[in-house]
Amino acid sequence: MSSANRNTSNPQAGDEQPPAVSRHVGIAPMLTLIAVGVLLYAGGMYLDRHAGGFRANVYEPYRSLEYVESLQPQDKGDKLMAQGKQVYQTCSACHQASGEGMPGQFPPLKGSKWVLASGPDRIIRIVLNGLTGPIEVAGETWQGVPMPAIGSGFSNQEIAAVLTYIRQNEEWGHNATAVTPEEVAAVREKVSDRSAPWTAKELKKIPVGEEE
Amino acid sequence: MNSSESSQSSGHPEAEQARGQSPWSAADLDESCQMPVLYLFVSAGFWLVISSIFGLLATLKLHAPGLLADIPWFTYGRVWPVFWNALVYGFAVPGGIGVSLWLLARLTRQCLVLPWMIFMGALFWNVGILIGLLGILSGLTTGHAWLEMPHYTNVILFVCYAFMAIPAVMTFVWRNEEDPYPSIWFLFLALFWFPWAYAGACYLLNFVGLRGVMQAVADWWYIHNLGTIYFGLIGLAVLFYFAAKVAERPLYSRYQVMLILWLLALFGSWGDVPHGAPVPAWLPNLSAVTNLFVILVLLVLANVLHRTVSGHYGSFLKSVPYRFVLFGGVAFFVAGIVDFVTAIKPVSTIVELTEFTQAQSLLRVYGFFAMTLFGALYFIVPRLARMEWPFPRLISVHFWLAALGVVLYVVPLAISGIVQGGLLQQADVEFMQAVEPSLIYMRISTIGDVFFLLGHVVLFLNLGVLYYRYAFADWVATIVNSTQPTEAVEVGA
Repeated sequence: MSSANRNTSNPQAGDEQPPAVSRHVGIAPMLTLIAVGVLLYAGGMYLDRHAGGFRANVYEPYRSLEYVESLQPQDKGDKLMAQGKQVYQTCSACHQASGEGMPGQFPPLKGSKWVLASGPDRIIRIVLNGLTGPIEVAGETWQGVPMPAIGSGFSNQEIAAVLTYIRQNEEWGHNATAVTPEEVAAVREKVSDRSAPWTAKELKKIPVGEEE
Repeated sequence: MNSSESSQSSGHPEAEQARGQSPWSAADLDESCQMPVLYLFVSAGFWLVISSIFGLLATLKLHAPGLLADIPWFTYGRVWPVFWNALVYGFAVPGGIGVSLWLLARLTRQCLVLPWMIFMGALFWNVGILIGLLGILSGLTTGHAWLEMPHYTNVILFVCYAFMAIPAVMTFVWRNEEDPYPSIWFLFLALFWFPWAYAGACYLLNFVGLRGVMQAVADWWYIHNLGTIYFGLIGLAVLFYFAAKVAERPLYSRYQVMLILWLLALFGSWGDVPHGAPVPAWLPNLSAVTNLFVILVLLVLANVLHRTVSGHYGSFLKSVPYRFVLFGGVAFFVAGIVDFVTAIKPVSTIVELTEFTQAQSLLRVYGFFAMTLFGALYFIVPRLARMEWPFPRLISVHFWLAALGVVLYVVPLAISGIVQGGLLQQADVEFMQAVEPSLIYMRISTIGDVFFLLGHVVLFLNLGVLYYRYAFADWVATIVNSTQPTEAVEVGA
């Protein structure tokens, strides 16, 4: 019995003083520090694997954006557009990324009637064999630099992709139909014996849709 | 003199000598708390009875769906939130404030500042609860768990809380104790934690109006902050107070208690977003990882409490209020371990959408916090009112009703949740087949609810009669028998 308790007979004497607290440090804080370190490491590893890179668009039970994207249904048009954007880097040297060309040298693709025509038959031919001579685009007559024949360097798929890209480019305000590799293949076969570039005059005879 | 005292002080209650001198005796301190704290307790007891009536009604409806089903005011969707809101805002929060105020005054050795302001806050808090519960019953619920009361009551409760908390903060600031007992740290943090969590959640959910799944995330965050942190802080403050008092030893290691506070505050509040929630994957995973840290709180706490009480556990059984506190302490560990285990993904996927979560939150709010509060309340009230309990034997009756109630409510629902969750995982089991086995467990848990109700009636009987004697007996006697001069209210021995 401590002296404090012996001094009084009142059973409520303990109330008079607040309880005390010892100033031992003990080993627990050190162990806790180690445990916090271990848990931080383990927790970090776990989150690295399961938290989807803290991205807002990765949900349980998926673990990464790449995995989620690989599970998405792939839309053919989107795939063509994505590929077309890559191929267009060849074209943008002259026609520019904006599709507006260079005044006096390269005619614009943006807003061009042939690009946005109901069918792609003329523009497929231009890409395949090139174009020379004067041509009227957007109310101006262009006869500067001829369009080279670049078709042999690209597959039907790539040409379809880049033509789809220029026909459907939202940034340019375009919304024409997509071009399929099959369409390109059909035209390529038809013009297989031709090596000379097209002229605007010749192309005008070709209907924009093959079946028309 | 001080230095020589403190050098040999470790381990002796006489270390008190090193502390500052207070002009107030314990009796003075109690007297300053008397009016607001007794009122807080008696109104908390009243709401507790209301809460358990609605809780009983709600669980009855789970297996007797026809009961009162034709009266819109008593449909399940309204009765159930009334049960929780009355329990949390009617009983737990004001009860917690009451205990905090008394501990603040005692441990800072400063008379409670502005008791009238606290009393007014408590009075209008109860008006707010009344409006809020009637709002839920009349169908004006917000639909956010634990925040179902109509949005205007959020403002009432917040302002009333400020009326109660500001004098408490002032009491702490003007303390007569240079370095108060560690319980004070927990209570002081809790004083700020409630308004922060409550105002944050109400603002986001009821005033700004978060959209879509963010509503659920904000709500989980709030429930976790209130249930685990706020109740945890106050409950632990009470545990630390009684551990040292009952064992008649100084609390083991000030520094380890500080560690508990920081671990709880740092890692405890990251929400319990369940794994199946339709939210970005990092939310449930981060919350699972931080839940694992909370096991450290339990380990350090076990060390502190055991080293303080070791060898004196028997003392807790000597008096019924101590038994309540002991039960609450054990429930805190059980709840903590259950939280830890259910944070693990394979376990979480089984139990997350079942009655198990219900058992879990009741274990924390009632098994731990309410039981600890009961213990503190039975200990404090006779000292405040300076009179004995009107029916001392009923205290023990309440203990057994409450303890059995917790067991009969929590265990069956937990088993039911595991059974149901296991069946739900099997693709070839139909939904109703998975639900049916839980019927018998729900019936058993209803017995738990009956025990709760009886226990609360017993508590309110004791509290109500005592409060009548304390507050009105004099006054009634004067009116009834105005010719005779009245004797002073009997003073406890």
